[in-house]
Formats: sequence, structure tokens, C-alpha cells
Amino acid sequence: MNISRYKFLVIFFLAASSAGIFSLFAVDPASATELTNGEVGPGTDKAWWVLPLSLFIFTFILGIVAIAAGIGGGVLFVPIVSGFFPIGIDFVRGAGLMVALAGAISASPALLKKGLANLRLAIPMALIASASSIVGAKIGLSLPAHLVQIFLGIIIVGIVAILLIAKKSEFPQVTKEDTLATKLGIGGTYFEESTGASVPWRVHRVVLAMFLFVIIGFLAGMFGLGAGWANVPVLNLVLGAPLKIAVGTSIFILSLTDTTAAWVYLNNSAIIPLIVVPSMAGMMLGTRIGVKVLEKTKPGLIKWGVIVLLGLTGIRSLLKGLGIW
Amino acid sequence: MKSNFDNQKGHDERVLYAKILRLFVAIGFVFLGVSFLAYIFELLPNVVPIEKTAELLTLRASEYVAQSSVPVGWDWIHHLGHGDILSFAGIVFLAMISFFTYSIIFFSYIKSKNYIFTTLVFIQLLIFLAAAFGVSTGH
Repeated sequence: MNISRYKFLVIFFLAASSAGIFSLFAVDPASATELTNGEVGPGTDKAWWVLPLSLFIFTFILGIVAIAAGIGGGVLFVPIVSGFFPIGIDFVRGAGLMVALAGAISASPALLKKGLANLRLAIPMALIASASSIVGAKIGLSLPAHLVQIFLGIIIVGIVAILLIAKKSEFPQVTKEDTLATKLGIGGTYFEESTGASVPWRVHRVVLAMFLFVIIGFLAGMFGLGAGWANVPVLNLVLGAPLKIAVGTSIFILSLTDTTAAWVYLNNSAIIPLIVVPSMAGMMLGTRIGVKVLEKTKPGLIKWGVIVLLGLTGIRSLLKGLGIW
Repeated sequence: MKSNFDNQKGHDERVLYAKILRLFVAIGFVFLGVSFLAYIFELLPNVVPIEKTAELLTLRASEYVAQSSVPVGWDWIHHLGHGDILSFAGIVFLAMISFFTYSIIFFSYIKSKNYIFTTLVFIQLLIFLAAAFGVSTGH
């Protein structure tokens, strides 16, 4: 099968399945109950298994597309599912955290073994991010639903801007390691397979990065978003870690931040197996297929499609929160 | 380069962490898969009937708790004979994996007398515990 057929198949499958899934949940206004917070309440007469099955299919496709586009599935899950599935915002965020966590803990052993996730870089940053994620999760669960939707919309539009603007640097120049980095022993070498050479690396601006991880953790906890979109630019552009180290370490940090935030959601009964398990299974299966699709496609077209989709879901979330759409 | 000074020790910690993590992840996913199948095929009784759970999914978490008999906080531990709670326990296990792995590398750092990272890992463990037990229950 040639590349264009792969692209066509992926896009077609995405469009057709999305339309099918969303049409399943076109809520009948007559049977829906309007809650005080403006959300549509219980009243759908679908069989119980329709929703988990739809989530499985949807996240399977999302997993393929996310990998092929080079964008984390966790960041796509929350805005799309909260915008188009009849699921309360707390459950979507709880599931978003678990989906991102499952992906991260599955990928971390291989990344650690290859030296692409660095413990000494990850441990201080994850400590800060996970502490602030508790605060974010607590605030997120206590905010009214419409405010969460508004803030989520703003954040998603911001993420789209970061994805469009932020440049990545394969091997950033770090002329002088800072004192804190030296004390913590952050740095080392990794084996670059493409060149067959060992690449030495070190970092700087550790304090600034720590401050940024306070914000990243807070947002991850509040919105249940995987934070790769923010972790990677901070590790790569602010700290100056090589891109591969930044990506690998980001996934590892995510596993710790999301673990902490997930506990807040677990303790508040905001994590429901009926939503989480099919979403997790679909996403993990999809990402495995996505890796194979990625080998045969150029990510450009799919990436642009996903960025546009993410932007639209951000605007939709904003308008939903404002009661316009 | 100066920052390479601890490369071998860093490598040992990483490999140890990777091995433990891989083991726990494998156990976690098998447990989650089996318990979820037991839940959806109703091989065990459920605390909240599956149809009712599906019906209440549009609510906020606090409203869901109010309208169902779902256990809050760590009360689920008393209902492990139920399919929905067993499936929930599978998710809890996944959320505990980082705690297990951090506990093990904590001792590894003590053994290697790396006091800075011993302290950092200890604080991280306290944060996990705070999230799991101390500061996060209630609305």
C-alpha cells in the first residue's frame, strides 16, 4: 500500500467514525434533563454498552492520529470527549489523566533503558509539577462546570498557538551549566542512533524551568491534560536538553504528575472504570497501530489536521462554557 | 564533560527503575483487563448497577456520588467482592505504580549515599501519600 492510500485511509476512517460516533449521542432535547449548571443530565435511552464501545473506537482512532501527528493523545482526549460525548467534565478529566498516565508508564521503561528519559532531570521537575497538580485538581473539581469549559477553551487555544509557534532544537547550545544543575548532577550522554555517536548534554536555567513546571503541573491537574505539549518546550528550549532527551523525559515526568493528580480524582469518585478502561485500551491499541502508520506516512498533513481539530474543540469548549454553543 | 561524573550511577538507577516499572505495568494491565471483564459481564455483583452508572455519567462527580451508592475516598476497599469496585481497584493499582517504583529507588539512593536525590525522592513519596490519603478527599 503506498503512502497516499495510508493517508487517505486514516483521514477517511477518522472522519467517518467521528461522524458516526457523534451522531449516536445527538441528545434528544425532549428526553434530556437540564441541570442547574447548564449541562445536559441523565435521560439518554441508549444501551449502557454504547458509550464505552464508542469511546473505545474513538480513542483507538485518536491514538493512531495522535502518534501520526506527533501530538500527545492526552491533550486531544479531554477537549474532544468533553465537547462531543455526553460525559460530565469531571469524569472526562479523570479519564484524560488515566489515559495519559497509562501511555506514559507503558512507554517509560524502554525510554529509561535507552537513556532517553533521564531520572536526574525528571525527579526535581516532576516533584514540583506533581505538587502543583494537586492544587490544580482540587480547584478544577470545585469550579463550576461552565468555568472549567471556558478555561479549558482558553488553554486549548493557547496550546494550539504553542504547537504553531514553538520551534524545537535538536541539540540546543548550553555554553555554561548553572550551579543548581551541577549540584543535582543533571546531564550526561546518550547514544544517537541516527549518527552512531554518543552525544554529551547538559542543562541551564534550572530555576526558571522549575517555576514553569509549577504552572504545567497546575494545568495538568486542573484540566486532566497530558502535559507533553508544555514539558517538551520547557525541557528542550528553556533547559537546553537535546530534543530526544526532552521528549523521553517529558513522558516520564508526565507519569509522575498525572499519578498525583489522578489520586485527587480517584478520591473524589471522578474516575469511572466504564469510561477509563475502554478509553485507555483504545488509546494504547491505537498508538501501537499509529507507530506503524507513522513509519509509512509524512506527519505534516495529519499534524495540520489535528491542530485544526484541536483549535475547533478549544473554540467549541469556550463557546459551550459561555452558553453560546 | 563535568556533568558526566555520575553517569554510571545514573545508568544503574535508570535500569533498576525501568525493570521494576515494566513488571508493575504488566501486572497492572492484566489485573485491570481481567477485573474490567468481570465487571462488564457481571460475573460479580456491582455496588452501582452498570445501567445506572451509564445513566449518571453526564453529572459532575459530586452529583454522581449523591445519586449513587458509590464509595468515596478509600471506602472502596471494603467492597472488593464487587465487580465495579474490583475494576476500580485495577485503576488504583496503576495509579500506585509510581509510588512502588519510587519507594524502591529511594532505598537505592540511600545505598549510594546520594542525599540530595534521597531527599527529593522522599518528598515526592510524601506528595504521593498526601494526594492519596491526606488532602484530596471531599468536594
